[in-house]
Amino acid sequence: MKQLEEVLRPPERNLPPYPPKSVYLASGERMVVRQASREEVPILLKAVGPLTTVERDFYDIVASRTYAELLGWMRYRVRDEYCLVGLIDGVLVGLVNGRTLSKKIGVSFHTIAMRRGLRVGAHLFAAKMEYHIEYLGQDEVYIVAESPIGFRRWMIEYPLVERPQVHHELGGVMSWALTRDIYYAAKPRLVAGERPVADNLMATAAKIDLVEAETLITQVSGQPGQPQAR
Amino acid sequence: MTRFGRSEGDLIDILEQASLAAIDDSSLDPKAIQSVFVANMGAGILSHMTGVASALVDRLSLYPAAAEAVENGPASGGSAAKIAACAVASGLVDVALVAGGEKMRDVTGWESTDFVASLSHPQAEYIYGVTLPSMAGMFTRLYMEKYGVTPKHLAMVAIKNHSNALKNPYAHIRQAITMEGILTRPEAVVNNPPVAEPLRMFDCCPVSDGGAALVVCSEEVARKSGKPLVKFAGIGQATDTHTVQERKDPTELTAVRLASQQAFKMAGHKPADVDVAELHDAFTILEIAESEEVGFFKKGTGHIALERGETSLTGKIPINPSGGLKAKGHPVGATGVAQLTELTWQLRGEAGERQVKNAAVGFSCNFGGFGNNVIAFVLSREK
Amino acid sequence: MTTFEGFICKACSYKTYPRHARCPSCGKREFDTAPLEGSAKLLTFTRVHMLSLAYTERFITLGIVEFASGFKALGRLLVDEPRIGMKLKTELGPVRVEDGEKTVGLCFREA
Repeated sequence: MKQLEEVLRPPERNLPPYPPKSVYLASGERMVVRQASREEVPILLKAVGPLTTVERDFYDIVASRTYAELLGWMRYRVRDEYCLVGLIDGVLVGLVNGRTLSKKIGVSFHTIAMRRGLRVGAHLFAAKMEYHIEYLGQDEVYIVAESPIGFRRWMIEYPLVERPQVHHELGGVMSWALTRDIYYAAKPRLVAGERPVADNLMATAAKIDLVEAETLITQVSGQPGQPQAR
Repeated sequence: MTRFGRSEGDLIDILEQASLAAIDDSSLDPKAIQSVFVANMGAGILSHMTGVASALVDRLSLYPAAAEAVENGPASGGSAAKIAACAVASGLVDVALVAGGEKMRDVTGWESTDFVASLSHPQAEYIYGVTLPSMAGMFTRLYMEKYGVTPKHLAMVAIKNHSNALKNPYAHIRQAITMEGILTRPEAVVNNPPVAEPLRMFDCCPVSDGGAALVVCSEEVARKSGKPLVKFAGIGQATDTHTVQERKDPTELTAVRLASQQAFKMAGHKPADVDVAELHDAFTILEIAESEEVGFFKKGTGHIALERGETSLTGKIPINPSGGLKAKGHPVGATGVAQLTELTWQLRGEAGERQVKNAAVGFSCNFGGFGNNVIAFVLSREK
Repeated sequence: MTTFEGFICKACSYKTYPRHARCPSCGKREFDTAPLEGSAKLLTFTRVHMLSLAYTERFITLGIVEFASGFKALGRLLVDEPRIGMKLKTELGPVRVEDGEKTVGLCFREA
């Protein structure tokens, strides 16, 4: 069985780590962006799981796929996957993941923002690109999305280039790419944060806490109907 | 009013909720409602719905009451309230229901931007990709050049209104923001991206669903309700050129000035008499500019008054205690009615944590187009 | 070829663009026309980032100009670093492409 496990487990590269950074948000709160470990996947699954029921903005498919990706990573069934998390006072506010296809090419999987209105998703997506280009030394990252709204924003904002010959592993859809040149041109506008993270701040991000599932779903889908009209 | 933000129901559901709340608040028998005015800008475009006033009458089982929808862009609410007040004041009816609502979040941000841009001049503005923020951006650049308003002043408006909205359970955005986070720290470039320079994300109101409603009635009927009386003391309205380029001085909001003067004249009040105001801050610059044109401050000094804290909740003239359009939200058809709703609560002493002390005279300014159709109200508390 | 014209009141010479049925100054209803062309001065501008679905650019630059002829108009600025007061020259060009259909409008470059 041990031999079979070795067959089924993809070979692993020791990826250079993502150096944590802190991001000062519009609210005055500081978000720590750091790499998550395999051991933290169970708690990430607890956060992502409830979102698989939220139809709005394609959260259901994004959360379902992310759940599978994280579980696959934890169970050694995905090659060279990573996950970066955003934490405010230790509470998970977002996560991004992806993997490396080769030394020079990366694949972006997903971005989930769990607190809205503070550009958490924008910061974390940018952190993911920062990781691929600056810390993994890659030349480009293949990107697709489930949500047309989310995708169009990045397609225009970076902007992204087409890679029609590449069928992205997320559904086989025609891929787009962020290249090294595009990244560095966009960096002043789109990538922010401070390194190193102060010790006391880093200490708050040592353990991942979650808000209640109901609160999370409300945060993500807005707060319809509350309070009652007056 | 409903909680502004993202509503689950459709437009008629939103109007229903706001209307029933207003009817219940009035303690009047709904059968007393003789006329219904619905303020809405986008039902035909965004929801493929027309005849919304008739639909609301049916939903509320108020037939055979008279009903019409009023469309005046973002000033639809003000217009509907004005017309209702006129209907009652003329003696045509004794009781009218005014309900403003909008369902804007069923479409993408690009589509709602385009919908609002439909109020621009089709040949001279719209074809160029003009958006309402772009008009505000050009206005802001001139205002900054002429009067020394800075990005910091704009940020102060946003910070104040976000702070006020924390005390308003019906506000769309209830999130404190800081000067560092939106302007001075390096991260601000991502936290607060440009929308129509020099205006940035936190200078612009959000896209909101929501509804607000009022029962407008004769004094005799109002006295029977047992509620503190709030009166339409003054109403004013004025228009200006459709295109911004044709205005003699594009930093002047002439329609705001004229509408306000009319309202104050009718009310027998001066701007200095106002205890609390709701101004149309779809963009932060507009709160500053309107505060001058309505007469609270001399032209070109609104930002200095803001700096001094004169427009804060505890200041000389609290502006936008509700959080304004910036944080309370801006479902365009509802806004003018929501402003009057907030003022009514303020004048009755029912505004909770954001109550302005001893508020007896209130003022609102509902800004249509880019200042080409403006309605102003003076409300007063009656004994 | 689309042309863009300003309107000059025959009675009082008041200049307007766009068209009004009645002169905003004297109320009369007859106008001469004159092309919107040539040199212009930039009065104000903005870079617009949140556009409608008709646009795939990250931003476009719009400005209000005053022509040497006295008319004022809004148009697309094809200028990297606009400055209030800068001298411009006028051309007609695509200002919108929707479903493959180009709309032509006033564009301005640095003179």
